[in-house]
Amino acid sequence: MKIYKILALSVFLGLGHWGFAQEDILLEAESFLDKGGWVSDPQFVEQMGSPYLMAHGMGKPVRDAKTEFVLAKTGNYHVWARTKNWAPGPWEAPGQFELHLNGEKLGDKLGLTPGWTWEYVGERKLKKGKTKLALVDLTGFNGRCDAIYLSQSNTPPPRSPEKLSTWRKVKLQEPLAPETSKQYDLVVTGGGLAGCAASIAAAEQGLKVALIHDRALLGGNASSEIRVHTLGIYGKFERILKMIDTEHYPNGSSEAIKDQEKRERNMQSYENIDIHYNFRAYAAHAENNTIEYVDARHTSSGECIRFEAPLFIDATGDGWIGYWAGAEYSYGRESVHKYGEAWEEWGELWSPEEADNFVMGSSILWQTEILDEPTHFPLLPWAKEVAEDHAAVAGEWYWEFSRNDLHQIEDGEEIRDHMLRAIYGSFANAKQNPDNAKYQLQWVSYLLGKRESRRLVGDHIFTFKDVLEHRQFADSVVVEKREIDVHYQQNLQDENKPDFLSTALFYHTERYYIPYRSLYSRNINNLFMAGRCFSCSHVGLGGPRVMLTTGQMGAAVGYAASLCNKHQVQPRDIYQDHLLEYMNLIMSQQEGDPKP
Amino acid sequence: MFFDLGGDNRSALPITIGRQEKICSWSGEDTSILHQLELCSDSLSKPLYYFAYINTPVCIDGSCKPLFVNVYWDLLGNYVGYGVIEAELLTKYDHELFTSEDYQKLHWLLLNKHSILARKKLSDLFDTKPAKVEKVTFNGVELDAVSGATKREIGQSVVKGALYSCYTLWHLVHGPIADSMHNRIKAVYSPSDFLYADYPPYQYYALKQMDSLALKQEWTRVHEIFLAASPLQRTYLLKKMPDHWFAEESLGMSLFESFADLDIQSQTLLLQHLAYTPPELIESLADYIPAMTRNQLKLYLKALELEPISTALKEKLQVIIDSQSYTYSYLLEDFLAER
Repeated sequence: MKIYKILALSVFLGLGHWGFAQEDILLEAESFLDKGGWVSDPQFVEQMGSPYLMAHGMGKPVRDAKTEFVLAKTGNYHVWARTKNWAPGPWEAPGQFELHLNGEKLGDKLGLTPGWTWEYVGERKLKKGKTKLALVDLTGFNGRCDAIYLSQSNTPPPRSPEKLSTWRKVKLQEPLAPETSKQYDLVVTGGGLAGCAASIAAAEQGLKVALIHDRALLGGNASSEIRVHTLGIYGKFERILKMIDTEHYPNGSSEAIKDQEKRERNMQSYENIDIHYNFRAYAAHAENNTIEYVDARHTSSGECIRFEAPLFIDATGDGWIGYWAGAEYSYGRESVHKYGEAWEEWGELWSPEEADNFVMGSSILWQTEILDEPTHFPLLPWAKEVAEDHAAVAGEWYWEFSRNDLHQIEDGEEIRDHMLRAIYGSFANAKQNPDNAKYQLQWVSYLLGKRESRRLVGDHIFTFKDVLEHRQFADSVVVEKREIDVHYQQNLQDENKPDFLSTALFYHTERYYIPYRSLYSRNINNLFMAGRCFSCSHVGLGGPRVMLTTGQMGAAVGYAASLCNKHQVQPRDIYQDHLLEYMNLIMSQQEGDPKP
Repeated sequence: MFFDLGGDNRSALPITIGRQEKICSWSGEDTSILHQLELCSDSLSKPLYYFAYINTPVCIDGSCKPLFVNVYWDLLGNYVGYGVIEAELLTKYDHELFTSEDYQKLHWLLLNKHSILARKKLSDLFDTKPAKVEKVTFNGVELDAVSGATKREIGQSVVKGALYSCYTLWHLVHGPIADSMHNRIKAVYSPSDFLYADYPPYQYYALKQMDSLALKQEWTRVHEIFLAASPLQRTYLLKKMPDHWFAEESLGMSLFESFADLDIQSQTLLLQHLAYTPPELIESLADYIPAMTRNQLKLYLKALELEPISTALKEKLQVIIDSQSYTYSYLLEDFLAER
């Protein structure tokens, strides 16, 4: 495995009768040898092109990120940094940093330009041999750097995403396909509760499982990086889910760390689960509606692996595997008439007459602590624009953002950044009150806790109607009794409310059931899905999107995969030809009845 | 509309009525006492509101005391106010009189048809042996369920010391009688009166009944309501407007001219209709670019790609770039660079 990703290119330019070699080097920030206090953020690779480093210091500058590289030639080098001003406006950019070469600052402050772009840092004569580079954070407020480019030519790298993508592949000499291939019985992408439960269930039945997860910690929204507690019931899978769930601590609590340790320990105890931490899938290839492989890239080293298997589970939440493979999917709210999902009391807020793309939003959880002495937190004009006069010293699930011009996947970075501005601004407002003098930000997540995104379409689409009519199915593999809980932004009803706060509508119900047919793709033959990307309507997602329920889905498809493997059949065949055996398998692993 | 605490914090009948018509009678959950629902109309027999004089016992631990109030609903069956009788002021459990804040709080509680009281039985709230509930604890501290957050929510919404009265009244006001009024809307609905009423619930009810042709015929009024509405109601209206409206310059312009004053959701829905909007109107919308979000600007620039753009528009875009005050100028720069 490569420790870091740099490239030295010698490009020969034929210029008339004299030619010369120019050297250029592309340094991916996420591959730096020492990231210091900067965090690696791979959430928005599909939109901005790469994982990047971010100085997430909650207002306190973080330690330098450092790396070294070797120059083949002495010469003058132009230097660019790919960065962005993440809260542009008539104020000082929040995330400013400097670039130091061999211990000396080069150029001006960086992080000043709206939109991801190559900011020119400056020109410096550098000697052949080892060169040191450092990113020096100046603010602690989420400065970010994707890559550094040094070139003897003064031509900047391309800006447009398409050209940049091609340019980057050339500079990094990326092969067309990963050079390493691995074969498994089952490839699970996404290590949230659904993906973990699926891996356990399949591994216990003897399958060799690859679990691809783009973070260093498993659990997704339940991880100690996002800290949402697991809600719902265990259904038929209590034994499995208790290995990976959380206690019912307040959302955002540092108690999540204990459950994280439990989850990692349990997951790593399975010899036939290969957990590929920090690998983010970037492609899924299907032939004749059958996925052949998933390609994934390490979020720091850039190492690529091709994962081949006869069966795949999409537990990415965003439905990426299905999306890449050409699976049918939906996004947004269906018309109330499409599935008959009306709740008259709440009308348009619950389900609209006309379909639209309003969806439940994403949250960023945060926590404060009370110190012994007063502590300062600055007023932040760039955050005030979002927070306005809202003041708060704590956040919860209802710190949530969705807007109809923003897509929860494609605009994830803007949504995350909006929430950061809401949090920092509201906290800064609260600090103006002397009663809050000793409050300090203890933890602010930088990972989006998403509620809703793409929903892959299966043979059955689970809707509110299934809940209203308490439908039971021959293939009911998931059972839940938690309320159907659909969120909307408070400012839809009252424009004066902050745009980052939501309200929940709870439809109280008796038990409801989700059939197995909602857990495999309608048109991709060998694809299961588990988690919030399962086959459902917008309102249908309202209840089962919580993590014990998505965990149930995961375990259910893990067992189904084992039978697919045993009979050498596809997911749909389990429903059509092996349902009794499947339901018996689920019952036989169960410890007692579903929790009352 | 109907309710006014007034100087002495008690209400009188809101407006003079010409006629009172008995509609039906009903009783609460725990008593057989019948309450009479009446429809009040003006002197021209135009329905105004529903009214009921409620006289009900409020009981605790076997001892009961009477509660007298006048309750008012609008013609859709929404609670709008209550009044008390001079000789029968409201009291709390310890016989202390309601304060002006207590009267106001009761009004707020009754206004909330989604109150937590809707999901609670009397026994959940008052029984000394409360119904078994699932308790959720963490580190020995109860976090949720009735006795935790829910109890707090109930406590915050009701008048302290008058839980019984609040509960009894809320369920009388929002119980089956509200459905009865809702179910007979056709008997009192007048499209014109509702649309032109200075009362948003009537306006929105009327709008919901109208098809796009009717909306267009009443455009002046509809537009007036649109501008004053909440984002939720605006977006409902915008989605109801057929695409071909946006091809008509006068209609399109009347919607777009308030662009900068609209909420972002409504703005976005407007911009999503640019494919149907005349090119001249699209060009003129450049004036609103400084109010656009990043994705709204992308929608707008995408619409501009469909037609050759004029020199005047290019100059306008350049002015915005040069002002250096628009956050997403860089997208304009990219756009101009490619044209």
